[in-house]
Amino acid sequence: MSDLSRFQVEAEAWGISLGTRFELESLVQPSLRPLEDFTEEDYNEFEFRGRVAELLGANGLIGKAKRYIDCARMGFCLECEGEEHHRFFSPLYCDLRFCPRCAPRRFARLFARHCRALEYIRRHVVRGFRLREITLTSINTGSLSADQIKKFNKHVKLTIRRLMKSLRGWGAIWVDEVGFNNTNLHAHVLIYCPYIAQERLAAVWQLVSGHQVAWIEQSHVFGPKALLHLLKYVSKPPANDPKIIGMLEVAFHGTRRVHALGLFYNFAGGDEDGEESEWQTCPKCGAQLTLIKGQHSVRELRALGLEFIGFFKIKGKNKKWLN
Amino acid sequence: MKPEAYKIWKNPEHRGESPKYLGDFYPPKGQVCFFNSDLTALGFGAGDYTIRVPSLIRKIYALPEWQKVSVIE
Repeated sequence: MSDLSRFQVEAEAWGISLGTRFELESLVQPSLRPLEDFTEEDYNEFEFRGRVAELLGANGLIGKAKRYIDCARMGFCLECEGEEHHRFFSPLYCDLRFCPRCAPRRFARLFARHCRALEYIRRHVVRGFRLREITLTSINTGSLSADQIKKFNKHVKLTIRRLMKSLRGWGAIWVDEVGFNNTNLHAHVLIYCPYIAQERLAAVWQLVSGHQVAWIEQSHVFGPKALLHLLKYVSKPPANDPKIIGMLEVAFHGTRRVHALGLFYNFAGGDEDGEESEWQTCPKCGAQLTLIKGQHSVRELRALGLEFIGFFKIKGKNKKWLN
Repeated sequence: MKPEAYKIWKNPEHRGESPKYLGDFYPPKGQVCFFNSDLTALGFGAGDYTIRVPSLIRKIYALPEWQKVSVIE
């Protein structure tokens, strides 16, 4: 009896999948060190995610807690309808804002969503208008809540509207940000507008919000680079402390972190929530891809010899970029 | 409904042999994993054991899928 047939019989008798049977084999053989592939980094990630999930769960966000723990640990199988029936796996991501794995994914989607406005600005220059960077700060209260963030965003919106009153052709996009490992809430704004004196900006900000510190300068970079510079704050979590990450996830629950006004609002497009999958066709043969029902652990899918579909995405995009 | 159980295998002594499936078990009340004393209490002798943690327990307690326990007499 071949190993495969033996494994199939055993998997059925023991009530496990064939993938799990293969995985078990790599763990039990005396010549292989068990759990070798579960590195210290994996344990640390487990520990970190567990502590964040605990906080989310304690605040009633059970669904988010599970997603955070399971990020990229479970996945599904994709099979193409071509002659060779190529099979791939795609992990299920949590897509939470402060997940170290998903933050860069959100960054990429947001960039795709908002860069069209910059293209418009490049083609339709308004005399005297420039891309400028504004920072609006608030007093650090030592904690953050959804109400506090909503109120802060309202103040930012009102301040920009007051400054842009009676002007046409302006646009602004801002990101809510906190200091590293603290609760110092502030907003980084990229705005396309005429000259605004710092004193006037600070006066309006104080009048609207009661906070004092506001700064403005002309953007040092142009076009999409200015947006990249702004959105970098979204691309990585602002803390390495699970307590703070948990608190931020709870505080930002139901609240957007990136806001657009004027041109940036009008030209927003793309699929920020990633509802439309990019993987409609097989990256190897171009045939239609079908999702096979059911979730499996990514280890199991790897053990079955399935390839991660994302590898093809990176190769494809790099080539396009080089050309 | 009875929850999914932990599956326990005894590792083979020689390469190429299959692990010995010992059955489905639950750890003592209040525990989410097995210790070597638990395996001894179940009547298992010296050796290396591989335990598969049920998916529900893994999700709730953020545990890895596989647990490795050695019993030394």
